Amino acid sequence: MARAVAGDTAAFERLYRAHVPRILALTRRMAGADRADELTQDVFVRAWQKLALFRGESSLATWLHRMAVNLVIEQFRSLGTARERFLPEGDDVLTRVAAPTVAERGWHAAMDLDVAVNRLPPGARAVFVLHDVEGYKHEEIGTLLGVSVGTSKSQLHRARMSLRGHLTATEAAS
Amino acid sequence: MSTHPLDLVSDYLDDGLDTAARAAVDAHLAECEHCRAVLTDLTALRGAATAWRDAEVTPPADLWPGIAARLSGPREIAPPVAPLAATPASAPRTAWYQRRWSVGLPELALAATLLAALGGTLLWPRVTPSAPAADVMAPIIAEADAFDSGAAQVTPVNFADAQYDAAVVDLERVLREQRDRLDPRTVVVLERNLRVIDEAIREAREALATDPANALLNAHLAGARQRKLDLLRRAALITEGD
Repeated sequence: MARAVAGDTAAFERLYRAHVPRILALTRRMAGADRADELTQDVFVRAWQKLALFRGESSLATWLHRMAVNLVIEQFRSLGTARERFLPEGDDVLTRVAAPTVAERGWHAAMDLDVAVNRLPPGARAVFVLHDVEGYKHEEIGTLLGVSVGTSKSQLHRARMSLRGHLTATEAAS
Repeated sequence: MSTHPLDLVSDYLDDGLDTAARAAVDAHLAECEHCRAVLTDLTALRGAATAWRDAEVTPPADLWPGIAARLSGPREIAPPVAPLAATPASAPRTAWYQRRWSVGLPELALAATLLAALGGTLLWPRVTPSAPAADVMAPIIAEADAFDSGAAQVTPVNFADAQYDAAVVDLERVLREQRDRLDPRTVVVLERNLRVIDEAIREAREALATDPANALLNAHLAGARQRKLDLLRRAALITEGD
């Protein structure tokens, strides 16, 4: 760590090798596989630039994780309009998934979250990943995404119901 | 509830409903197979999401060359370390050390301990008699200030180790004596943070042994040493009690 702070890129490469699997997994969950590699590189470049500011108050893994979340959200904010980021507030999504079938009862053992989450709009995906996967509170998500707590809760519910719809449809088709 | 309360299901799942709303949803679930199925599915979905968190991904291609090619740009440096002025009694404190202190240690005892450790011999112009902790850090502060101004870029580190180490030893002794009176959870946090800081100090010292004029390393070590002293000092102060 100290050598990386001092400018030793070989030492920093060792840090990269140790942490890249989890950072890449995070960027894939939040932003999708097609953008994850570039975002992961951005995370480590930023970490290199700011490494001297790492105060050791959390683990390096936690520091990198927070940096990755912030960077993904920065990029996410530059994408499209708010309407395109989130699931619609109308009833279409819920109506579409509101009628369970017998086939739906057994999907959860075979679901493919990676694919299903990738089909969510970026904002709804971010809310779902931050809350249900990464364990953030709605208040934190609201601050990160610049939305109200109510919007975060609403989008989480819609994301969950949408995922349920995608996953049960996948199960029924298989 | 005559209609399916699907908009409440997520809050129900997350224990986010008040008692009345939860009771209403419970009553509905008892009668509605459809909503029970939704709840079952969302519970499974949340469980799968939690399991997903621990997944790791092996990069399909080595991303390092693309990163290495971008490391030549400017880097941020640690800000100069701030003086450790005595904490006013009315100053807001963060939550972890604010809670559940059953027995206090008078602040005067801590100040006397520090002053005894310092022995009153301080060589640095920024010393103020009313701030003993800041006195200990003055050489480090001066080093960091010099680093910030660019004057210390080839100056070997000089941290007045004897004074710093004496203060740390005394603070560690105070905390050791008070350990049994502290909240065990706080002791765990404190010891974990001290281990992290000690490791940072050890690494920085090792690196400086081979590169003593490295300005970034000097600033890194100065910051780590200040954090250790600051942490010990804050931990000792909270034994004042509430």
